[in-house]
Parts: sequence; structure tokens; C-alpha cells
Amino acid sequence: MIELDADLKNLSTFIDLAKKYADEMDFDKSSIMQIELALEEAIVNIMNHAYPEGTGKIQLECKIQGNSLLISIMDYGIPFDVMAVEDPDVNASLEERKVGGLGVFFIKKLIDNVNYVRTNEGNLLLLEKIKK
Amino acid sequence: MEIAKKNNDGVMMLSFCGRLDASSATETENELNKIIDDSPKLIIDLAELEYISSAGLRVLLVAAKRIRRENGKMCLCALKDSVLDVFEISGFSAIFDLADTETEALTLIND
Repeated sequence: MIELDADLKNLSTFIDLAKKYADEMDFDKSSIMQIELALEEAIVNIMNHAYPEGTGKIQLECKIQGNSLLISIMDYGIPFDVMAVEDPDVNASLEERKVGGLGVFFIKKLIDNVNYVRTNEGNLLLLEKIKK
Repeated sequence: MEIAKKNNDGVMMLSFCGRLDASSATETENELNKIIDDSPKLIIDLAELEYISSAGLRVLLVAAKRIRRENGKMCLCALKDSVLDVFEISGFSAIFDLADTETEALTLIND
């Protein structure tokens, strides 16, 4: 478990921790990239939405349970429910395509189970990636 | 992320190497803007791009929108499978001109 400032300079440390677990579980290359991508999106969302001004901490914990990699990401910022974010229109043309909104979409697409809990302390995002 | 560039008869040939993620997005966006200032016709070779996230896609989308406004052209080529997957999930494969090779991209650009 690690807890670091929600800062881009720490992004690779967070990702390396999850990758270490994914490697240990022998996920294939493409699943490892999916885990990496979902985690980056989750962390960037915390920086932008939970801590829009200034910064705070992000706590990351990984656990192996059977065939699943469980990743929990906690922050202590303002409420941000990823499940409430609307999917972008992926069929929009270049002119109509909006910039942004893709991060949460990737998390939902690439991770088998995504759960959001607002606790007394902050936002808790639980990701479960199942090894097939 | 590293950007290599060469000018081929007015077409800027770029090649991205490394990771286009939230950490490298701002710098890449600034660099691309400078390149588009000089020439709104560009080919980006992604053969050495290992990884792209939504922050990286955003940079490419902003560049493509600007190039469209300035009547230029942009074509991406030689995407790795892992990067192509991200383009497909996001629908970006339908809004960008993608080519398998640099030669094919040059034909598309000069069409």
C-alpha cells in the first residue's frame, strides 16, 4: 500500500505498483496495459475532480484474490462519482468530437468490475480485473 | 516522450517514441503546436509509441481539429496493436486518417 501526493510526478510510482502485481499474476501484455491505462485515468481524475485546486493524498492498494487483481484507490477530496459520468459519443465526427470525457469510459471498458463508494473520509474507487 | 522530425517536401514527418500519457501530454501539445505553426501537413509515425492514454488522445484530437481549421492534413501511421486498441475503443480510429506505413501515409496526405 502506498500513499503519495496527487501529483503527476508520482503517476509512474502508482502505476509501477499495480504493474508489479499484474506481472506477478502473469496477466498477458494487453491486460497489463489495460490495468495501467485504467489506473492512470483514475488518478488523473482525482487530480482534476477531487482536488481541483491544490492537491491532497492518494492511497493505492493492490490485492490478489484468486484470479482477480483488486485495486483500491482512495482520495480525501470532494465527491466525484465516476459511475455518474456520462459516456462520450464515440461515434462523433472530428468536428463534433468533444475533448475529454474519455478517462472514465476507459475505466469502465477495460476493467471487469468498477465500484465507487463515498466514505466518511473521501472517495473510494474499487477496480477488479479478472484474469481470463 | 521523444519526437523526431524531418521535412519531406513540405510534409512534416514526425515520429513519437515512448509514452504519450498525462505526464508527457502538455509538453507534446506545445511541441506539436510549434510544428503546426510551420506546416499544417503532418505525418506522425507511431511505431515506437508504447502507450497512449486519454490525455494523449486529447493532444492528438486538439491538433487534428486545429489542422482541419487551417486546411492542413494529418495522418497517423504504423500503430502498435496495443495503441490501436485504445484508438478503437475510443472511436478515434474512425476520426483519424490511419495508415499502415509511412509510404502509405504520404500517398494519403498528398491525395
